[in-house]
Amino acid sequence: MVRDLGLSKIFWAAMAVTYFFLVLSMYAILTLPESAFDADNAEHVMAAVRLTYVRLAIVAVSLVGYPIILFSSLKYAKYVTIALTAWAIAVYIDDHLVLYRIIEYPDRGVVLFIQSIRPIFLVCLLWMSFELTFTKSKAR
Amino acid sequence: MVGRKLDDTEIGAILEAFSESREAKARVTNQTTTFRILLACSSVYVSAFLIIYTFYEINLVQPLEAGLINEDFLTVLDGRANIMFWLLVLMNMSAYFNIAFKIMCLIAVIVMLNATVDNLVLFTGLVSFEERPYLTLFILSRPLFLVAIIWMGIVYNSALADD
Repeated sequence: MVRDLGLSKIFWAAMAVTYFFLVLSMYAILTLPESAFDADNAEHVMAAVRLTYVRLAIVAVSLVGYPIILFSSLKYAKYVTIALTAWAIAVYIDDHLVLYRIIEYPDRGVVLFIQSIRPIFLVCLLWMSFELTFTKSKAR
Repeated sequence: MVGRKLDDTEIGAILEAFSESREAKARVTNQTTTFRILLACSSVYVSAFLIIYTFYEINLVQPLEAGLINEDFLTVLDGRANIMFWLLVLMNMSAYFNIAFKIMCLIAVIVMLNATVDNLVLFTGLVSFEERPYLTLFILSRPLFLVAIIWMGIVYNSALADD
């Protein structure tokens, strides 16, 4: 079934990294300790968490729905991947260039790790988008 | 010949043979009146906000919101203004050259939707026409701009099927 799609091994590796990143992010936000809000910048942390909960809903739906779309239609998977990549990049730009004075992520090991591997996650999504757009697949 | 599929080299040769007509066709404004009106309105909307914001930032106009200049969310307006400028440039270029306009619309919708949700989550308490008219107008008019982009993507006629 996987071979029928005609996608490269790099695509599946990128997808695995993406899933790892998103599941880890969900774990980090769902297990956030109460002490995260005790700091001096509690208001900024609260804003970040409020925003992350909204994003979490989209991530949860995408994690479940993406494999279904990928195995049903590569044409629609291409558009969904491009849309999700655009969203992930928009969120990244928002966090670092637009909202950097409004929000602040909790100072916690797993959150710092997630922030540091975020560019790799974006690279994986970009690879998936490019591969679905430009690779000639047997299934298409 | 019947039933035989073309390979990449053959398709490339055919496309190259028609490249001159493609170039000529790409420059023709072959779009509906609705599309042209929507593109013009979107460009005017973004440009108007950028001009007001720039005048406001360099103190050429009297600040409408007295406390806005020193507050953190001015950085948000600045970031959004930059993003809207680049989106406007890219969308107009892709419409003119007839290249990937629908994908550009998709990206613009995602970016706008994300910005709208962010604004709703973070700045709902700041919406007030009396105290912050510029910011309020900016936040409340975003969904309309979003609708305009979606509408443009739907009515866009990609005659050369580049997307």
